[in-house]
Amino acid sequence: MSTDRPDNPSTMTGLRMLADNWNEVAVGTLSGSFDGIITDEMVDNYLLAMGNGLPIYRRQPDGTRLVPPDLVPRLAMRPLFSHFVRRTFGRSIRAKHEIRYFRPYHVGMRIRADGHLVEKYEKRGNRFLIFEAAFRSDGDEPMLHDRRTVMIFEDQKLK
Amino acid sequence: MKLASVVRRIELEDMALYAGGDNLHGNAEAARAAGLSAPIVQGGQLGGYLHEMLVATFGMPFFSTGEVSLTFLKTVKPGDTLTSGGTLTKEVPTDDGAVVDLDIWLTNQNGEKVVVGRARAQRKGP
Repeated sequence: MSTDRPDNPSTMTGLRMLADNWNEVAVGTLSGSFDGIITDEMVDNYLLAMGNGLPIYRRQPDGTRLVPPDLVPRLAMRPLFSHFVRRTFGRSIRAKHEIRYFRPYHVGMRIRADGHLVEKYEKRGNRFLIFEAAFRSDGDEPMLHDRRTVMIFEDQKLK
Repeated sequence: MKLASVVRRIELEDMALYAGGDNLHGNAEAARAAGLSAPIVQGGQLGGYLHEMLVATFGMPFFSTGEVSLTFLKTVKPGDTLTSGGTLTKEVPTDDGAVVDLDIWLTNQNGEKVVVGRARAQRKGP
């Protein structure tokens, strides 16, 4: 991703392309899909990164192990949303995030979800995209619902 | 009800472990290339500290009844210290406890709110 200034001709072309994409990409577009299995290593890495030592995430006597609820959308984020945003619009930063949990995930379970662009809008000179994804189990039960708003920051500075 | 507050000092190593070491969340060079003075913590990691507080507070019911809505206000960088907090806004009794609404937040070492939001979950017991 270029962070060149707009007086760079190649970047001007890039900005025009991104502007065209803003108009052309329709609400309802599939932004990505995810299909994967949750492993112990994924949970261990997450807990280590977060410094999270809650005993609820230890393996239980019956052999099961709970997965931190927010780890699932984190694992699926790039293929569901981020790659699409980066490829189509440029860099982005998360502005809002809503998650609703219906059932717990355990290590070894499969994560399946499709992401869709559900809204796009401009506010105070910034462009925002809203995506949603419904995560379902192998038995097609709802597991969690993810709705997130990202702001494009192609040529902005973050403080 | 008392919330199980989380306090964490943010280290670049943890950011890289969470978000990967090849991007502006976990790599100083990538952050500079994006026009940032330093890597910024990925939003999911910030939300993760609030989830830790909520799981520690509600336990298992959070995994099947939890709802979280977050707004990200300020960027967070390595060396910042974050503290989670929250306050009860509504409690509706149920047969086996209550449905609880909270305002939640994450503040930095200067007392500035970097994330604000709301949460709802079923609380078991009296």
